[in-house]
Amino acid sequence: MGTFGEPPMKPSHVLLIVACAIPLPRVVAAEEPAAATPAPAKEKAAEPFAFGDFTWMNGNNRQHKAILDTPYFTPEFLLDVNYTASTNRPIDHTVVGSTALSRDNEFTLAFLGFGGDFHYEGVRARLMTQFGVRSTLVPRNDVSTNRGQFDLQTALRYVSEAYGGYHFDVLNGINLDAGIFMSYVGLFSYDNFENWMYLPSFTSDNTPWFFNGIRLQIFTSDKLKIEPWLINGWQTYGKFNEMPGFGAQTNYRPFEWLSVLSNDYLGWDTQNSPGRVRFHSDNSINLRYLNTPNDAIIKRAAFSVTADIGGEQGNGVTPWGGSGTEGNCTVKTPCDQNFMSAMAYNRIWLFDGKLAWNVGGGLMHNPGRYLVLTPTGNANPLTPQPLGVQAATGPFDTSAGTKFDAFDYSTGFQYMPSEQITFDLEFNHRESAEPFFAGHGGVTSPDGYTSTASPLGWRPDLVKSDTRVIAAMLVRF
Amino acid sequence: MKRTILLVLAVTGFIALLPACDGGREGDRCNASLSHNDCNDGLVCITPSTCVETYCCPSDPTKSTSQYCNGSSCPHPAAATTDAGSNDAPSE
Repeated sequence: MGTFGEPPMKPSHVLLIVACAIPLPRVVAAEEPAAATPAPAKEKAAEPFAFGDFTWMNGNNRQHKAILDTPYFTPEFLLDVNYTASTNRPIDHTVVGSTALSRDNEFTLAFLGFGGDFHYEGVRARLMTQFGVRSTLVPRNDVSTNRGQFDLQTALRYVSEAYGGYHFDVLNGINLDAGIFMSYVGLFSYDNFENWMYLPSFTSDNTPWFFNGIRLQIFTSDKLKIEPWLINGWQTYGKFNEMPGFGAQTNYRPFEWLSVLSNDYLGWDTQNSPGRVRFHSDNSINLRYLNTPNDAIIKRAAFSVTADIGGEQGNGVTPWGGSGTEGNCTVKTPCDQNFMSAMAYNRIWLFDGKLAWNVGGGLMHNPGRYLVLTPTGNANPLTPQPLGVQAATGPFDTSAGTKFDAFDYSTGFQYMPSEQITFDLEFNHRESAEPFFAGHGGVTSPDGYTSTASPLGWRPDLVKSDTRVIAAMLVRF
Repeated sequence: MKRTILLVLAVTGFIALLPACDGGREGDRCNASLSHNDCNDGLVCITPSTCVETYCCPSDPTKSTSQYCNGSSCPHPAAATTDAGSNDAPSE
């Protein structure tokens, strides 16, 4: 029989074949099974990033298996409790400038979440609830919710991840998801269990933790993921203007010891400024430079380096080269508004690998302060306050033309007696060129309580440095 | 055993890194509502006569060299400013 693509047979050849076939029906029948043998099954594409063990990476889960896994649902439980104390001893027990820490000199339930992954055939969904202080600490930075009605902060603050989607068996897998999903801009994971340090540097803390929209994860091989996003904005539940935010993550892991990550974003994220565009590029390397499982003292060693660059253009600001000054930022004389930062961490796994020593730090330059985690209480900037909220007596200035420069360094240990728990102990020092952190007087009122009135002219006590110790216990099932 | 020793050394190191408990120094903000003195020995938590905020000052703040205690730099009522903070003071 001819096959597709071969030249057509001559009629005489067809007749010969038919003649031969007639007296040999059994033979033909006997050969049928062979002829009907299914073609070799199409080789299943390799699972993305499954060729190596990436549990060593900063911002990645260190667990090797989900112990509660079932065929249709993989449950997950997260608990994060911390204690931190600053040498500033703020009288209102308030931490300024962090999304990991919130209360000073108190035990704090930072995060309690339960949920998991649903998976049946190609359909997938994920839910992770969010209780604990992070349910107010993180949404407060999103002032897009002041636009319009239905109180998006209240509606959404108790879910940290909520999306559904479909897996297509194309290439090495394509996932289409819609809802609220995690951002890895700034390398560190929102789930502190996955991070080398509890309090990340500014590059991570001042960049998004989540996005609201659609993502498409395209695995072109088992080593490369390309993930475009179409989202409401830069860690926003809502949209500031009419344009959506666009972005993409690219993650390339050519070897088990190397991961290269890039997150890139373009959006319009300033209230009443549809002409102001924001761009941001976040780039990280995770590199494991030592892997000596048989060594008695050092099992592994790795570092991560992250560098970010971004800016805003339009409506009186420009990324670089602006000639304006605060109060005089105009289209003709725009003020500088950019974000440049970097951070680096090193981790050494000791003894049986259950103890790790981390050291790291970073710096941030952000004129215009558009990514600064604004202080709270009476230092909360006036601009984003919704109506009905009493104006702060000493708001932190976030106007165009302002300056912000800061750095931090930290060191600490993590003890991980099992894959389900981490004990963290670390020392952290942060410093800024302008008063930013909570000083002893706090940011709330003369005695630190919200129930005490602040006299006119009373200012929050913002200082230029913050030195603290942090202890945390993190559980993950 | 080695791990225990290292853990003990780590915790000790952290404790050593922490500065000793310190009350407020002269010119530092303080909490006048406390039942005890929030300031270092020799200082009291007071509101200088021209100020709306409380500072750790000598009992006679007019003799202080701190510009917050002697009233030259502290905010007067209705004089709210942005980026305010005691670290923002001119060097003394």
